[in-house]
Amino acid sequence: MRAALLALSGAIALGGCAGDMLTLAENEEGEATGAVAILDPVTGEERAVVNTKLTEAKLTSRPKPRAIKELRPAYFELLKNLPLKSERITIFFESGKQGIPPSQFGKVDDIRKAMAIRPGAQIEVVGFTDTEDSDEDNENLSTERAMSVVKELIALDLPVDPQDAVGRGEREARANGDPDNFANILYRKVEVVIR
Amino acid sequence: MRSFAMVTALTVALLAQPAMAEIGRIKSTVGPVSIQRGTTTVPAQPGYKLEPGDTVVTGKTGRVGIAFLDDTRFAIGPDSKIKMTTYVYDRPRQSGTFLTEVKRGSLGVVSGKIAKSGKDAMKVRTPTSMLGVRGTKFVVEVKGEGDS
Repeated sequence: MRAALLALSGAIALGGCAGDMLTLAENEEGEATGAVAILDPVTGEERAVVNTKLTEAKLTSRPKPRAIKELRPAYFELLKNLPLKSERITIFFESGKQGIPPSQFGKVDDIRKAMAIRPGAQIEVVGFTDTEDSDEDNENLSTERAMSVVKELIALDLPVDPQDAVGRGEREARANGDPDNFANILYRKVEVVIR
Repeated sequence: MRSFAMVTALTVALLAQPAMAEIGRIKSTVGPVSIQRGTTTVPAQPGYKLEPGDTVVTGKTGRVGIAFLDDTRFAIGPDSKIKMTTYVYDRPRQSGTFLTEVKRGSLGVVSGKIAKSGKDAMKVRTPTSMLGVRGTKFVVEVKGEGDS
């Protein structure tokens, strides 16, 4: 069986074009380089792992990654078409409250500015809570916070789809180490994501 | 009477199917760019909502930028044919799976939250290989036809 799989994957490799190429670029500011694994398309076994920036590898059955001095000009031009990174605008609440506090209405202008430089913008509204109260209550509260902001943004003629209201409950607070039933104003918030 | 019952049953069945969810949006286009969805082909324009299974096709001078819900971003070059075969994303948990097929052409990628949610949760298939994406920025180019 294994021999048959190897023969099949070899045939696929030979049948493909030897010019197919993977190039790892320098990642964006503040982000680690990461990696791309080249896998056998049939067995899923790793043929090679490319984990150094400015490295290229032909996509053959035996890839041999090699360092390059700079990206090919065509790839440099290609990457200019990447959309802007999404922008996150945070709105904080008082404990148990919903809706945009009057002190933070100025952030609506920030949302409009972020949209203006992103054609066909999508607005996602993500609600959070701290770890006070139960998981279930916090799931509901975070979703209600997100929906309350969605409604306000729609009333301000911003093109928000109610399906883009997301409640993350207390997940972020827990992931960052907060114990259960810990009041933390940093997570009484929504993030408006413009992408 | 029988045909009425069949039409009613078909209507109920169609209504019961969930609407395909948006997975991302076209953000920019240059030159000829189209989206193939089933048997339909439409020109791409900024704001167009992509769904799982859509194929993006660019002409000789076409280029397109796409932003996905998990913050993955694509730049697709000229003379390309690229299918978003599978895209499943749990937004509250920020995890999922994403399979893209590069049938021909060039694809630049900045991976997003799906790639960070599990080992090789994001994959890119080419005619000769499968790539497991582990949180990075890269270009893959397929020069053959590979137009299956």
